[in-house]
Amino acid sequence: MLAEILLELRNLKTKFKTYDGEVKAADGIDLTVHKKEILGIVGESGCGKSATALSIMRLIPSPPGEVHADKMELNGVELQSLTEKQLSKVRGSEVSMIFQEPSSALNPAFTIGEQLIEVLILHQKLDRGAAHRQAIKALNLVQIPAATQRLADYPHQLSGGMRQRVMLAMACACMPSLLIADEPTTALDVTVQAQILELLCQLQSELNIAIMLITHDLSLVAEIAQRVAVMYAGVVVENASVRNLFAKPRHPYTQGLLASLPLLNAERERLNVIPGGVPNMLNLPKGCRFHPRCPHCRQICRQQEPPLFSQNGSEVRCWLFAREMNK
Amino acid sequence: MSNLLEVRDLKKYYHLGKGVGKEQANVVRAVDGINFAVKKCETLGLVGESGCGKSTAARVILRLLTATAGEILYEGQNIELLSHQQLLPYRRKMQIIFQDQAGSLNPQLTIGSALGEPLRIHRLVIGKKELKAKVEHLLELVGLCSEHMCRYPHELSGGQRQRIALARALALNPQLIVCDEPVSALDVSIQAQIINLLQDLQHKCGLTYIFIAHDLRVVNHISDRIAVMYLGKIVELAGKKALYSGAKHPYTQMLLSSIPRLAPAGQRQRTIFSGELPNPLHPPAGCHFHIRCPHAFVRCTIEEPLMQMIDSDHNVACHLLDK
Repeated sequence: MLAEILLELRNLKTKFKTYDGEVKAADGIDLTVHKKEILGIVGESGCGKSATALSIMRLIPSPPGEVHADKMELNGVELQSLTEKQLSKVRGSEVSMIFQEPSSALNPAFTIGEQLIEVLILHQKLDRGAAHRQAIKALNLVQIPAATQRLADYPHQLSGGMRQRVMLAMACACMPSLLIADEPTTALDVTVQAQILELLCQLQSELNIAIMLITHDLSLVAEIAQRVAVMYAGVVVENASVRNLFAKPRHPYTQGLLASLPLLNAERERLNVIPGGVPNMLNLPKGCRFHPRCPHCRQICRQQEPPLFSQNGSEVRCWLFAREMNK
Repeated sequence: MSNLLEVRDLKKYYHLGKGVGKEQANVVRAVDGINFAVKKCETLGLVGESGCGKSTAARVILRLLTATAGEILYEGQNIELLSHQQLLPYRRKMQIIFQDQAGSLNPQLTIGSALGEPLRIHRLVIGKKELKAKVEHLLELVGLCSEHMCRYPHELSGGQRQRIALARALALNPQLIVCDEPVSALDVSIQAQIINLLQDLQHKCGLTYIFIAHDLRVVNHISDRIAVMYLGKIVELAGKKALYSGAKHPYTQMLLSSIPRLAPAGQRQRTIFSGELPNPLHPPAGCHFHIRCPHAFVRCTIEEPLMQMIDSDHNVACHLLDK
């Protein structure tokens, strides 16, 4: 049972020109987001997860950035060929994005009402009165108490969790089909994080939107996502359903990440460690990018970059699976 | 085992100015009467949401901030009363590492001179040769090598900088290290490396830790006992097994239930609690937690609950226990 494809990304390459050389933040990313699903994208800092999201939104500044993909289709529309004017129609009403730091994403000089209404007037061509009513609806949707009064508040009058809810209200106000959430709970406390995650799930089922949840925390993905893509140094190394990934992580990096998490029931006396650190993006290792840190590294890993091997909807970029899975 | 550190009724209040348009000067009770003891060679975890006063408590204990009231007994000596000069030997025994490793290292000093500074100030080494040897030893201790001596902080990764911060704390052979969110800013794989290093060093050097973090998973992994703080007060203090399997305070239960688990969706039920940390300027009357508490009753809104011992190693401050 496969739902319709909403976003299809083939061979996305996002490069940045720097004085020290070219940084390939995303180096051949293939991703598919189906309608109404939550896709988790997990990776450590610098692995290119945010660069991928910004490339989809066409928010990478050029220069120094350069985005190229063989295919970047949203609802069958190729995003790369759109003009700036067409893009602004897509942004907000088709795809929208929320960020890690809600306080820096909101304008401190305007009330949240003004900011919400602006979105609605711009994208939905509503008049002020209708936009005002719609804004209250949006705040109710994200469960902000006393929505009418809150419209007159400035961002600094709200707590971090409330600000993130406002961001969500803005992002969902125009009923997009895809919401990109870039580390939406990283700056929040655990109790508030749980509330926001719950809200994301509700929005997904009530509004039928697909969510691309970008995070460094594998357990968040386990909580709410249906599928996961694990990224490392600019490539997707594993792509599987949540159930499969946590039951049987295939890529050594995914295995390492899972084993390095402290568990709450204190079953782990000692944490497993992935030796070394994330490679320098200016100077990536030859062959498989993970080979210097990999416990199963073989000759071929040092020489040749592995392709994505796939089987039953799971994909893994590792030579260990060259025999049992298809290219 | 004897207590290395004991804190009795420690308070830290911040008096805010009257300001324009305000009726009266406000007081923030950042730490409002906390009691605990840390035994030698154990790790005491301190958890709570941001703004609950855990970092303030740590800084007051080290006398980086002066307490408003209360006693801090280090090996039986009340260090709250000591003069700056008298405090020096205690400074050597108590060290701290911070969350922001980049901000806690001087960008203009090489790693070698940053590590050498505490040794020179406390006159623990004589001559350049000995200093160099000692610094090399420190770097080795935290898993780095002598070539890092001439590097600057910006040339190192976050994990390496946290190792340097740890080496600097270790330079004076301390007994107690306060770790203030030491792994919160690090990636998962690096976080595991630092946690393991902290545990190794504890065994090797006989260290005692006060480990502060907002992530209950990390605290639970590394600590022997855990204190849960809410709005300046400790609401539950227990051994980690007791806390995980038998948390009594509704706030601890809420924290535990909020933590994302590594179980795919649908495999477990969770309760989502509503509400957020109230404004610490005007904390609710009675039990500070009652406005978010699902079990609150009349008494909670009037009377503040006192810490009660329910087991040899389990203390809870909640009226539900008497019900």
